[in-house]
Amino acid sequence: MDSPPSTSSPTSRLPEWAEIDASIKVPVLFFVYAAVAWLVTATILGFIAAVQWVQPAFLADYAWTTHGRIVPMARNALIYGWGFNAAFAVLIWMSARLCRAISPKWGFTLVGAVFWNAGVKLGLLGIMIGHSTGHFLLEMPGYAAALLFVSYGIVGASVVVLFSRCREGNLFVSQWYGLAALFWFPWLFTIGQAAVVFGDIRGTGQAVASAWYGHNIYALFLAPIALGAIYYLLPKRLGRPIAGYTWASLGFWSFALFATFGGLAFLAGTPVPGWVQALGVSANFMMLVPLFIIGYNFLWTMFGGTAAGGSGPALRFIKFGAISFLAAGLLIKVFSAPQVYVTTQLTFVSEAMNYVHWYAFVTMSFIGVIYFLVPRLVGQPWPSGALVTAHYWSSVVGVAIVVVTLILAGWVQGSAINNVEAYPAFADIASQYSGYLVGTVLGLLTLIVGQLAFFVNVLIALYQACFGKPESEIETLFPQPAALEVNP
Amino acid sequence: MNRGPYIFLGAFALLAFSWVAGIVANQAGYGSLTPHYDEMEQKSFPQPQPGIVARGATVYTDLGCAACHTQQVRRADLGGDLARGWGDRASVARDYLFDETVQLGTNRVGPDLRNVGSRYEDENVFYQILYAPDQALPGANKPAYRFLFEETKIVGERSDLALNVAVPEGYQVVPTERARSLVAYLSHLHDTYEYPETKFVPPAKEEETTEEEGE
Repeated sequence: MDSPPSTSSPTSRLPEWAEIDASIKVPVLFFVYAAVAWLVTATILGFIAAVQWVQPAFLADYAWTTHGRIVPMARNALIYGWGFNAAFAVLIWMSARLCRAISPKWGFTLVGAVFWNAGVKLGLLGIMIGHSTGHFLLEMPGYAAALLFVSYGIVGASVVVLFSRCREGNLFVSQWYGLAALFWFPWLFTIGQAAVVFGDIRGTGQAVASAWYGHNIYALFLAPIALGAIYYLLPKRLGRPIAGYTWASLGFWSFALFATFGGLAFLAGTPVPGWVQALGVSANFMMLVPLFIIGYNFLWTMFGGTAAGGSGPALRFIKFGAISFLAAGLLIKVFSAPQVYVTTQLTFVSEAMNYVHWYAFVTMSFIGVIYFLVPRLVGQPWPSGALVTAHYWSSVVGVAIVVVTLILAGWVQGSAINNVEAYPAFADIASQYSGYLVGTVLGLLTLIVGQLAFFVNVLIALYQACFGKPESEIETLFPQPAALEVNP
Repeated sequence: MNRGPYIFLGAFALLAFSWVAGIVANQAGYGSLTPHYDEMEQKSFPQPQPGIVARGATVYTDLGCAACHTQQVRRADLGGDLARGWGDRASVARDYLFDETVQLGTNRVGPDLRNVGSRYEDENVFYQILYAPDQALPGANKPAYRFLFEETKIVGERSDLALNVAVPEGYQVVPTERARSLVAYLSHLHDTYEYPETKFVPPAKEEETTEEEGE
C-alpha cells in the first residue's frame, strides 16, 4: 500500500473524531445500505424456500426458482451479501475509531465495495441459471469468486492501512479479532476454492474440505468480527470496562483454535475417516474453554455492575447477540452428543443451527453496531424510534420462532426416519412435521417485517444525510441529545 | 501478545495448522485410496461412470437436489438407514471415488438417494416421479420438475419415453436431454460391491463404544 506522502509525517497531533468519521463516512454508509438491502433479500429468499417446504408446488415450474436453487441463493445472499457488507462496515468503523486513524482514500474502499456487491450479484445469478458448484457456501461459480477475491483485496487493503496507522502499540481485544479475521478470510477462500472448486480432491475428501470451509466462514470470519463488535460496544454503552479483561487474550486464541475444527463434527457418521469426525467432536467439546472465558467477559460486564447501565437500540441488539453466542455454544454441545445426533443429524436441526449462528448471534450483533454507528456518521439520530422498536421485537420474536420450530421439526423428522416400523413409507413422514414448518414460515415473515422497518429507517437516515434538514426538525429517538455525543 | 505483528503471525500459524490437520492430512490418506480390483470378476470397483451418467450428475448439482436429498447410508447403529432399505450396507469413502462433485447432503426432506438406482428397476418410474410426484408418490413432499420435460407433436410414432399423462390429441410429453441424463445418473446410483473395508463390519450394538465416541 502506498500511503500519501504528507500525512504520514510524524506529527504528534491526534486526528479529531470528526476527521476520522469524515474519512470513512461514504464507504461505511454504502456498506450499511448494501448490507441491509441484502438482509431483506436473503430473508425473502429464505422465506420462499420455507414456503416450498410446506407447499412444494410453490414456484416449482421454473428451473430458476426451483427449491434446490433458492436455498443456496438465500444462504449466499445472507453470508456474502449481508454478512460481509455488514462485517466490512463494522471492521472499518472499529479499526478507524480504535486505531484513531484517518482513512487516506475512501474512494478506493468504495470501488472495492461496489465490486464486492457486483460479485455477489453475479454469483447469485450464476446459481440461478445453474452454474452452482454444489459445495456448501462455495456455490457461487468461479467467475464470481474471482471478482469477490479481488474486491476483498481492495477493501481489506484499506483496513490494513488503518491498522498500519495505529497510534497505540497495544491493541484492544476487538482489534485482535478484527485483524485476525481480516487475514483469515482470503486464506480460507483460497484454500476452499483451490481444494474444492478448482482442485481435484476426489471422493469424500471434498465433503471434508467443504465442511471445513463452510464452518470457518462463520468461525474465522463472521464470528470473530461479531465478537469484536460485542467487546467494543458493551463497555462503551454500559460505561464500565470488560470484566476479567486479562482473560480475553486466552479466550481469543482458544476460540480460534477450537472453533476452526467445529465444522468437522457435522461429518459424524458420514463416510469420512473416523479421526476427522473425532477431531470435530472433540474440538466442539474443547470449545467449553473459550465459551467460559468469553461468557465470563460478557456476562459479568453486562450484569456484574451495580450501576443501572446504558440503554438504546445498539445495546439491546448487542446483548441479544452476546447471549445468543453463548447459547449457540451450549446448543452445539447438545447436538454433538451421540445420543442426540443419531436423531437430529441430517434433519432441519442443521438449518436451525445455521439460524442460531448466523442470525441470532452474528446478525443481531452487526445490527447493534449499525444502530450505533449510523447516527454518528450522519450526525443525526435515527429518524423513527417506533421503527427501531418494531425491528427489535420482530427480530427477537422472529428468530426465536424460526429456531424453535426448526428444531422441533428436525426432531420429529429424525425420530420418524429412524422409526421404520411406525413409518414404513417415507412419504408419510413429511406430514408429521409440516405443522412446525408453517411456524417457521410465520417466523420468517416476522423477521421480514422487522427488516423492512430497519431498511426504511436506514433509507431515511441516508436520505437526510445526503439532503439533510436541520437537526431540530427531526423527531428524536434519544431522550437526551447527549446520547448522540461523538465520543470514543 | 497483543501487538499487530504477533496477532498476524499467530493467526497465520493457526490457520496453517487448521488447514494441515483438517484438509492436508485427510487428503494424504485419500491420495492412497484407489479402486479395488476384484480378481474373481476381473473388474475394478467402483466402476467409472459412463458419459451420460456424469452429465446427469451435473444436472443433479445445478438443480440443487442436495438441498433435500442426502447421498450417504449411515451405519446401523447411527439411525434407521439400513432398516429403511436405503442400501445393503453403510456407505464407505471408496464408493465416492468417481463422483465429480460429492454431495453428501445435510437434510433429509426427501429420502437418501445413494442407492436409489436399486429401488426402481424401470426408468419410467423416475420420469413419473419427476413429472408428477403427487401421483407417483402420494403424500410426498416433493416439487414437480415439469421444466425437465417438453410437450412435442407426435411425428410418426409415439416416443417410447412419452409419459402417460393427459395431453391434447397428437401430442406427447417427453423428457428432455437433461432429464434423460439425470435419470441415467439416478439409475446408476447403486453401491453393492463389498470392499474389504465393508465386509467385516459387525451389524450393530456390540461395537458402540469404538472410534468417534471416544472423544
